[in-house]
Amino acid sequence: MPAIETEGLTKQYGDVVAVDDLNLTVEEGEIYGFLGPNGAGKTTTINMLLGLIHRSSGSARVLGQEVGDSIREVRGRIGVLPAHSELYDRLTARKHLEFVINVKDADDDPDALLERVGIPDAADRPAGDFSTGMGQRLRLAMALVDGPDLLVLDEPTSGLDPNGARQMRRIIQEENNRGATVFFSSHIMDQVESVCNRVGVLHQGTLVAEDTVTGLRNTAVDGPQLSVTLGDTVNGVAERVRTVDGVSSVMVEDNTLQASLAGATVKGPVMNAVAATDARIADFEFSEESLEDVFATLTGEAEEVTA
Amino acid sequence: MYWTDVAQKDFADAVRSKMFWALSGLMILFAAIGLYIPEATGSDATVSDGVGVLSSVMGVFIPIVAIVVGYMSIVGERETGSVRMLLSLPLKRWEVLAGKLVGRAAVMVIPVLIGFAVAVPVALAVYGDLPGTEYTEFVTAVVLLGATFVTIAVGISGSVDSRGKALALVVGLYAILQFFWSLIPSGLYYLANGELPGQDPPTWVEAINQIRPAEAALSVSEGLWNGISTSEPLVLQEWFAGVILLFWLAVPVLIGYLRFDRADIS
Repeated sequence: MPAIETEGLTKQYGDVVAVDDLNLTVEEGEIYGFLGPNGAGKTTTINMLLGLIHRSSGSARVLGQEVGDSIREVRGRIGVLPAHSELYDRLTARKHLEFVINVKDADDDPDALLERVGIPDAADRPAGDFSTGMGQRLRLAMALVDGPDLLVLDEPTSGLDPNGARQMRRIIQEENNRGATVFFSSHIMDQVESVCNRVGVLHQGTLVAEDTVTGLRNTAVDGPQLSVTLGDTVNGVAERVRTVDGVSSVMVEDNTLQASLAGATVKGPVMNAVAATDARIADFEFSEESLEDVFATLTGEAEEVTA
Repeated sequence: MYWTDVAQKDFADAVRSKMFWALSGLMILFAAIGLYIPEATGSDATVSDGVGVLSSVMGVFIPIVAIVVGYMSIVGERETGSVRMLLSLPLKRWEVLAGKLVGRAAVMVIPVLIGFAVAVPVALAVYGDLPGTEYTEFVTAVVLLGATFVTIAVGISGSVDSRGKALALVVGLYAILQFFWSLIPSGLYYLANGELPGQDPPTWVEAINQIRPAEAALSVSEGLWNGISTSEPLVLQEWFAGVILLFWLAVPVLIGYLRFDRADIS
């Protein structure tokens, strides 16, 4: 049974289609990164999955239940970190957690939760005194109450410093190891690279790609590139490199040779092939398309940058 | 009973915000000063004059306080987005609304009770006595009026998606009920008879006047402590005011619930 399953999920505001015919499947036990630029419809989708927004058409099932039915049974098993949701300025971190613990009929220890998210000293301070990062950590602690089967985190790393983002990823990994499915959204591709099993890229309300991180890299571009600059002649070197297994194409420009590879491991054989000729190697450079570039290509932001 | 968690949290928030304490202080001040005014201005003042002054002050003042206490209850959380956290928890929307309503009603009613309790020794010191029934009747009416307007304000707060709309609606409704309502029966009477109703208006004029929550609350309280005036026409008997008060307690908050339940919380 998938943890999240939508079919033709659509949300329309007047003429504007915020989410368009979305088919999404998040399997139990995976970490799914839900990516897209701001305004792509990520939060709208999450709000529909949580029943905060009523869908225009389509269906959405969370933990096997149609959204809207059995709120207590389903939402009791979900931990949510909402985006753009202020805390109660006057209530302490402990009060926030106690409230969630009571409503979820849980028996967690607020201090232990705060310790885990790295703000153990904040228990008795009102949330109004918190920095953005501390607030985000408290929201994460609230999401972790009662060891949920599904964690829905909307832009969890927003407002966190690099160290905080690292801790967030570590906790996501720990929760997943415990058996929780994690569904989180981000507009920053790099955030998902190290933790996600699978990513879906949302653009203008439509899922434009869904794959593993590696798969996504390879489909969007020609794979890793190796360029070798030679000291003098390039005659015969290109022919030699073309015969190497895993080289998909070779281009020569002046005395620089550019090879597209099927994978990063091919760069060794290519270098060996070049070295086996008489050519002198002046320089070489290996580049893997960053996920950020893939993301930009998929969402059409690349043109804006180069234009 | 998860709505009690919402109510507790809401009440705790109000206590922390000092609103609760400010209100308690204000109530003590009003009750004590109101009771003392007749003594300070006239020579032969009795405690009943004091309660009378208090009653007219409270009729205007309590609805305003109740509106301030209630009108941001739901829409405020929608504006800050914290309602998304609430509704992501295993809480139904009616549980959020009910919790808010009870929490805010407590913020309104408890300071009233504190204020009027502190006023008791003041009255005894100034006038030497305090008629128990009359005072209890008055406090009951104030509590009922406060609770009614909190309910109306929370209902309106659940109905709209911005603070501005909530404010416009509560202020509009308050102005109609407080200042313009009596023009309705008077105007109708004038249209029918070519003159304004005199000292002894017909039943229907009084009945329309009694639709105001302030009148209904007074009448219900009278009925509770003095019994029903069975000699009056049916629509002017106290139980009928009870029906009117129940209408005010139920309908706005029901509309608020229906609209809140259908709303997209984004």
